[in-house]
Amino acid sequence: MELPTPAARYLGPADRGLLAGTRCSTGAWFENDVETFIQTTLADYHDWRRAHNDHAIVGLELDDLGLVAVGSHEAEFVRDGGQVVTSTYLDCAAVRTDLQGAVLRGVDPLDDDRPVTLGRYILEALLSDIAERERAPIVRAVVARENARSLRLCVRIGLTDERDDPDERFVQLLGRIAT
Amino acid sequence: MIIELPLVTAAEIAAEYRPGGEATVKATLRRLRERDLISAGVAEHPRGVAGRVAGAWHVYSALNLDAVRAARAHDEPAAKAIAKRAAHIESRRTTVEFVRRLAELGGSASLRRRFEWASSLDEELRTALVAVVAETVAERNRLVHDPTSVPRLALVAAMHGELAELMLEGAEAPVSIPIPDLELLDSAFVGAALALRFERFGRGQTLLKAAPAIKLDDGDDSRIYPYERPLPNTDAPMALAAAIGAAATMRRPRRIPIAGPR
Repeated sequence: MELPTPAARYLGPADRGLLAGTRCSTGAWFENDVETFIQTTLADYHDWRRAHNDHAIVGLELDDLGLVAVGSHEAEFVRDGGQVVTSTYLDCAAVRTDLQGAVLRGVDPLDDDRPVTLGRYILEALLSDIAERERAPIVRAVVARENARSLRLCVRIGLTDERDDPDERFVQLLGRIAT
Repeated sequence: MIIELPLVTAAEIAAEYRPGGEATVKATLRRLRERDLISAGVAEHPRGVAGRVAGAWHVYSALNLDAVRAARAHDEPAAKAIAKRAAHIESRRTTVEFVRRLAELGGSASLRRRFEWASSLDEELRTALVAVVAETVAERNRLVHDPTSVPRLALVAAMHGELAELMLEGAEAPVSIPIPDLELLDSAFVGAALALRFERFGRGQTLLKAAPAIKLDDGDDSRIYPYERPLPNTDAPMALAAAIGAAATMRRPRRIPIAGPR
């Protein structure tokens, strides 16, 4: 499936209803978890945390399809090279169930000539937003080990350093953005 | 699962507004009500023998504790906004019905006991209790953005001489509190559930206030409070030294314009 380039927009508490209607799971437990988080928690989570840690929700929208993808990130602190710096935690990123794998025909591939999918584009939108904030260029995400598709996508964008998560079902993926 | 009590008494609101204050509860609440800094509460008049009214029972949404704390910090707009939501919760038919049922549970029982009975004896009351708590917590999360104001749920783990040792949810270090303080809350026993609030008063001064909470035997472990993930803390940064190299792994992203306010 091919789609035009969606518009990116910051979402907030006023979009609670929009988020509540988001469907992004095909039935896997880790997809169900993310879908439930987006539907029931993300708006309030953002409303509460943004004052403390610069939490942001980014949505991708198409005129005729509405919200097609959503993701969020927030600041966290890491010790890097002996110093405590503000880095980024990627909270979540999800593509509407019926549009997973859809390709954006108007977006040029960046590094490997692969067509840019909605999933790739929501991550790029999040990274674009992160790059404009005053944070150290370190990004961390937590991905279910069974979620092969997301693991591949994360590696493709450069989240290549791995470390164990306290929850054995997940792995932490880290990357450093070129400055 | 531990849940906080969604309803409080006038005395608790007065104590939150003026910790250690000596003004009468009635006068304090009247002044707060006149300025719309608290809600009206829900009054019930349980009937005793032969259907006669056996006193009055007046409780308030626990959000009023947040409202008076804001009022004490001279943030009247915030206090009024919270009080308005408290009034909304109190005016719901389910809340009024819940209070009516609570009022019927023993004339002299403490609020803790009433809630324990509500949660253990009657499935319908228990469901109503969880629903009122969920709405209270959701409203607080929307309106109160000071992390220290969020009640921390705890269990009394042990009693040592004059002190009770509390284990806080999400924390490994115990907190101690004088047993006489717990006796006033009808909570001086191992296993008693509590909701703790911290408040900083300047350098080296932190007020710890404990209120009764309820431990539900069943139910999942996840709290109704939806923000389990702790806020980042500069005192406890993640150690990434061994996990991430110094070289960039991600190309600089293309700029994608994002509309709307951040």
